[in-house]
Amino acid sequence: MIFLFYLLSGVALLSALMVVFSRSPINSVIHLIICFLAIAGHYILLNAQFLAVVHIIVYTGAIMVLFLFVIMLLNLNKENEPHKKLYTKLAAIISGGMLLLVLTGAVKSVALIPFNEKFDSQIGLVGNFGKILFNEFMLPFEASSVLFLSAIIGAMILGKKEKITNNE
Amino acid sequence: MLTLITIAATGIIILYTTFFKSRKLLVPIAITGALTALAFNISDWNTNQLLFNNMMKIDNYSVAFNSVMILSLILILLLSHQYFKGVDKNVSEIYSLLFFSFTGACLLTSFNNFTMLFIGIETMSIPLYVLAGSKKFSIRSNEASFKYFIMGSFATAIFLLGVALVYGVTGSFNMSEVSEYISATAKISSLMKLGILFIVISIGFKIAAAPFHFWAPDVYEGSPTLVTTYMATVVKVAGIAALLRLLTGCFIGAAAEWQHILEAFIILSFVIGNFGAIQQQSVKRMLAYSSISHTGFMLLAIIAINQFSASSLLYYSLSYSLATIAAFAVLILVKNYKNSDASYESFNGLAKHNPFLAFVMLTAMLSMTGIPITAGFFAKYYVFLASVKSGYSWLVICAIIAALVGVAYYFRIIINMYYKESNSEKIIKDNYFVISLIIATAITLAVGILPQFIIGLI
Repeated sequence: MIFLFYLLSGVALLSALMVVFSRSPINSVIHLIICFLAIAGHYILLNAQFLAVVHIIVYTGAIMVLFLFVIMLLNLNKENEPHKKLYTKLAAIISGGMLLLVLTGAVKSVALIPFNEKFDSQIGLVGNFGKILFNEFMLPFEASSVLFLSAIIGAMILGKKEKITNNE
Repeated sequence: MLTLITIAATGIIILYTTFFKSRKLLVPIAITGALTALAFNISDWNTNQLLFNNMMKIDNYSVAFNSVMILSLILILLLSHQYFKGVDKNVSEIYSLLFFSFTGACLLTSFNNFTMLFIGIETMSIPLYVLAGSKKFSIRSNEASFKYFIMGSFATAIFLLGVALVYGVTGSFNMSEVSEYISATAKISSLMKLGILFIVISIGFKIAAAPFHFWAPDVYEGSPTLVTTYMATVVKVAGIAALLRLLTGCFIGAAAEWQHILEAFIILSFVIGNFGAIQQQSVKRMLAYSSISHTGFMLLAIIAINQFSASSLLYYSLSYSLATIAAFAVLILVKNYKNSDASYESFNGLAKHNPFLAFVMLTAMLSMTGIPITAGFFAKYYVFLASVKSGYSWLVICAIIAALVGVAYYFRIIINMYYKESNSEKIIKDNYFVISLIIATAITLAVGILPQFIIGLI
């Protein structure tokens, strides 16, 4: 179990780094898929099968395919990274490094919390998850429907074909 | 709860008005919906309810802030009729997005759980990303939408990281349970501190507090002015109300941690907001920077954490919203009439042929500066009072200096309106517009003279 955890973490971290470092966008996307699959493996280790499956279907399946389509349609498959100025790079390194420092400092100083006895390890199974979702988390679930509706309408507004007019 | 349902339902009803070709019904339906919501909202007064397994907490605090926001929404809707007059495309989607965004704003004032806070922030923001870009053929509008979307997504990611850290430490999303955990533990875990920092940063982004303000001037300038008005009033008030609720309701035990963060926010907001505003040539950009500076004043009420915090923040939100709406309304008219980029010069000689508009703008500017008999004076006074009571005198001194610097750019408009000559004519405005301006100005003056009506409420 522990071995699997470290294996999946290693794969996830390596592929995440490769997303950033690879020059071609297609390679980045492929590595991102590997990263997502590794994280889905983590979910299964945590006994959250539903989350793992949703994660694979939605992110690895739908969203990554969309990414590939966009790259294909926009013909981004060229290795031309825009050249950034030196001080931009320097500022990015300094701020990123500071964030890393603070995060590692925080993690280092933290005492591990003992395992919560009340925790139900079966919570991630589909049946139990559904019961939680429609009892305790009913309101957030319903409220997010407004969010989705507005996203749909927003996509419609932005995507609709219109005559060019110059009024406000 | 009925408030929330009414607002969301009005958004859906407005969508159906697309079937009618006439646009006459649009604004009346929207305003009826908003007024119904206001009535339901006020009927919740003094009923402390915890709804849906402690997901939502409706108390006087949320009712008061909802009322301020609904009032702003009504005033903005009144402005919209003339604003969209020349637009030949169907605008009902824009109205419904406005209402959906407002649903999120209502969630932000009454959440009692981090999931609700997250959904509130997202429901408020995602329609706004679209609304900012709703002037589709303007490159500035596209830029505003894109910038807001990218930066907003980063803020959301940071927010989620913060919530995850807080959840990791406490094992709960519920605000009261988190609060109990913090008060029960003697030493606050460093992960908890980090979580609080991330959450405060992301909300600071939403309310455009410096140093997370970089999106604000560009987005405010590029968006259609009506959307900018909404962003500067409702969104900011909702964000700041959520921040006060979160910090005093949930993280009160860790006050020593977040007060330092807020101190930095306040000082930077004053400096960047004011000195940014002085340099601007466009009034719209100036108002964007001045809204950053106003965020600093509002945060001053939060940092105080005493019994005056909520009421002084409410009063400040009301006076700020009314003044901002009035200022943007006059800006819309002047900008449309002159067909200009809304520079200071386009306000030249406004008082001669449009004394009413000039008076509205005068009250708004005086209120933003904080001159007596307008609401802005007591707004600043009570905020200062609250923070002095908690021993933040040095911040109040900075705030007074910031307010004095503000005179420089607010009075520039007044001088241009009253003392400069120009060959302007009378600007045509429809009845809705005039009603909105009258309401905004009347309430600004009324609560400025009688502040105890608002200040004693919560």
